[in-house]
Amino acid sequence: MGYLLNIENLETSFNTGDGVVKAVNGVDLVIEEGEIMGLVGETGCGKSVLGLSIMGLLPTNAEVKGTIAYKGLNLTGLPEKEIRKIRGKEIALIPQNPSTSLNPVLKIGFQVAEVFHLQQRLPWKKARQAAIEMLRSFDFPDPGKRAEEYPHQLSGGMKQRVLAAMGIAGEPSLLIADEPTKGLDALIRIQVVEILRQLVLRTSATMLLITHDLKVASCLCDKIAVMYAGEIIETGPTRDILSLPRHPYTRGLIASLPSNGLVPVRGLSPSLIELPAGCKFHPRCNQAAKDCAQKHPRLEIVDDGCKVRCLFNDQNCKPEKKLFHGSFQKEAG
Amino acid sequence: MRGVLTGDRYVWQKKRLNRTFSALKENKLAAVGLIIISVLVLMAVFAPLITLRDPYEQNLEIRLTGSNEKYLMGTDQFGRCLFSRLIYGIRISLTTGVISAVLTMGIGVFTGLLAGYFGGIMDELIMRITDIVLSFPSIVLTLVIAGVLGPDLKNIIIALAAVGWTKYARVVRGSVLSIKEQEYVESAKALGASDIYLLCRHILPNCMGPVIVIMTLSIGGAILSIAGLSFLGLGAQPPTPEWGMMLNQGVPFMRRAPHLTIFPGLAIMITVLAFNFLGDGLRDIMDPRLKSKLFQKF
Amino acid sequence: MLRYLLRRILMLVPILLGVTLITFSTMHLAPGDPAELILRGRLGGADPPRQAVEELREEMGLNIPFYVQYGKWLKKVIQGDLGNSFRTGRPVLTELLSRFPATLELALLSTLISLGIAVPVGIISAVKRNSFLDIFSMIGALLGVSMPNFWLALLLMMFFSLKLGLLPVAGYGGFRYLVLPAVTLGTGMAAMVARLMRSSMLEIISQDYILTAKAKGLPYYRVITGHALKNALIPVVTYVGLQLGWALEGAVIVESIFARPGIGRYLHESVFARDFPAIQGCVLFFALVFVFSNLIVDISYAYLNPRIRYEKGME
Repeated sequence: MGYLLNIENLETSFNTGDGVVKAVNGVDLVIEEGEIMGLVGETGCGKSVLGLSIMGLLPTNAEVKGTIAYKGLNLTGLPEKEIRKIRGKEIALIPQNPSTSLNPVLKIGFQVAEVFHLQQRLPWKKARQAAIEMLRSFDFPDPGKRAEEYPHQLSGGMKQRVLAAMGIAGEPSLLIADEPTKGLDALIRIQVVEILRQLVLRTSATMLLITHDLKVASCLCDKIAVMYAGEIIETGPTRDILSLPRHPYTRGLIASLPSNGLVPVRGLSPSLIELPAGCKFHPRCNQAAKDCAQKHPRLEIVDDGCKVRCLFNDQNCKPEKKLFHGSFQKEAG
Repeated sequence: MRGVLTGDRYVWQKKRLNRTFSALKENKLAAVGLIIISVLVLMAVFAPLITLRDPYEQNLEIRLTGSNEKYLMGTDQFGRCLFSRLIYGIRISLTTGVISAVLTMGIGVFTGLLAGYFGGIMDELIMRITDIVLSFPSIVLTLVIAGVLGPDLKNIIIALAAVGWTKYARVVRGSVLSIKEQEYVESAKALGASDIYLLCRHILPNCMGPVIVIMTLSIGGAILSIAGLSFLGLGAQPPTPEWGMMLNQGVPFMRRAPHLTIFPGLAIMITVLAFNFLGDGLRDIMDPRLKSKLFQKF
Repeated sequence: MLRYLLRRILMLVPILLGVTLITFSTMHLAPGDPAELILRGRLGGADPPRQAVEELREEMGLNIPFYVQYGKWLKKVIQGDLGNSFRTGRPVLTELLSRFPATLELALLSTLISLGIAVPVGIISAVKRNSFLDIFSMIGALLGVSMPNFWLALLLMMFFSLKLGLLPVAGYGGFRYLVLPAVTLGTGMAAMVARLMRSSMLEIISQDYILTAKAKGLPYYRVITGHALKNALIPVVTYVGLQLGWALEGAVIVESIFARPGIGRYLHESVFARDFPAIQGCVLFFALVFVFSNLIVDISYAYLNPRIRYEKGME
């Protein structure tokens, strides 16, 4: 029962013309073998950057500090050549935005087969066969013909399935799904959740699910980590986070779900160039006290498996409304 | 109506202009281009002060000498001072280049506005004509028009405009079509603004960005074309100190007096380069989308 | 795909009509009476007698309405009769065909040279963005774009032929005569293509699917060659068609300088001699080559870009 991935004090920043953008600020995160971790937060809170930091796929103006230990191997200091051996084989990414993440001039069969060829050392002919089988297992009708098609001929849901197929084709131990439901309409979103659930059932892979959609996270994940302004502000088992959220921001997120009346969290997320002092959430927090503007709270263990980053994590624990009357609840298993 | 509808747009445009200037300062290549152009303009204006000799003064005794302390760049086949001729040549190249670019731009913007704003048959007709003109390799058509009209700088300018306006017409038409749909144009129309007013106040200013970029780049192109056609004997006639023609006249003496080939060409290249630097910089600043689509070469 | 081709070829008809119309009209651009001009040219500038002018007008069909003249001319052109050269009296078509090989080999070799330089330079510049190599080659490209090709031709001639004596100064013959003209044209075009290749590549490598390819664990060179290059080449291919046109244009100057008996030089001479049938023949030739190379480009563009190939109604 080891940690598959142990992130400690990870800091990722970008040097841009406008200043240093601090996208990830001291994140500690542990992912255990076989679990599904949901990383939840608003757009621009640094969650996708965290995912790319793990893969070592950041642009050249990025700087990464801290450790990302994967099976005991620190990925942050690794030269490009070494980390390339990890990519696709050990850790795979299901990128966000299915409509732009497939190469428009290459046949999808080739794009999937390429992973088999590269990671499982199959000769091209066999890789192609494997790709078609993989597409079939993702409910592609007539996969042999579909494999000859180009991405623009597929629907959004199909593209997502191609990306998912590419993700697991290398049989990775860890799968990072980056915003798989971003920008999709409700119907396709349900499809995608189904795809991901199939994935999990089939591969028993460990997964890091990055999403802004608490609902999607809650029906797929064993654990949830809530991210705000580059920090983890609350983490714990899904059930506990949903039923007893301790951080005001988490409560805000839950209240903003459509089923709970779409009450938005007031204010806007802070600029990642000039972060507020003290608790990064205090300008938007309706329970903020004087201390919050000065003291930066630590991520403290509050309960069995739960951690929260709030100065008042004890007093303010009020049970929130029930979250789900969901159409897609997690099946046992 | 003017105040209400246009006030903040003017402020916005002014801001954009200011931004352009400050961005120019940061864009080093564009700044270099601007400096070179300024120096060239100064040299053209003060040509009599810089040069010691009359560019037309012949002295057959010292023909085809290389550079020496009396003649900075040596002399040509008639013993004229090459340096003086090159400096006076700036006047010719800059004025013909700019006039040709402005004339071309004027025709192109006008037709583009007509096509985009009025649409219908007018649009159809103008666009078909641009299609046809663009089906010719431009230099061939320019060469033929200029050649048939007769060898003269003026005819080259006419020929360049007759061929080059299509570029602008297309771009302007495109932007007019999109601007026409904007709310502020619609609302001005609803308030009863006339076509002329709308065109001049709202539409024209808003499609000038790409036009200015194309124009800056095409001044360089025009200078190249004019020099090229003059080199072919279709433009300036002797004894005008025109760079392309000077190059042509230097060819027979290439072995004995290579400076007659080297310096005029260098002058053309530096001038064109300056406009390309500036145009490239302006393009990056004003409209990143235009990048690398529109550069023409002789 | 077939329907796309047909539609594209059908669209050529009005264009070709317009092209022939403009070509035909060039003769009437000349200030004054073409017949008089021609005679004046023959007589070395002296005023021709009225009678001779009238006779020539009749012979050239200048006394009938313009559109009838055009119609007659077009009919002949379609039958392959471009008229006879005023200078030599030989059929223009024959003259063009005999000069075509010289121009064609120049255009092809210079295009090859330009692609051979520009595509690798553009790719390396984009991949190693802002490196010394990138800045160096992009300044070089700007220099190349700004350099008059007639000057470059003279410099090359001065250095390789006069100074080193490696290559012939001018003329026509074997490969040795082709090198300098082709290098002149090729490097100029390479400058433009390299800039385009670089900016196209830069745009492509910031696309999401490049990230996907990297996440697969592909080595970087395979990401570039296997995933980025085909996308980045799409705009470049469009350009190469135009480029072939440019190569032909450049032929006018370069052939004149290097005394190559090609169509560009023929046009140059004909313009000076006011040999209108020859001018019209050359213009038509250049326009046709230009139009058809654009057609070929459009087809290869469709081939490279599946989004166009499989556009609705095309299958």
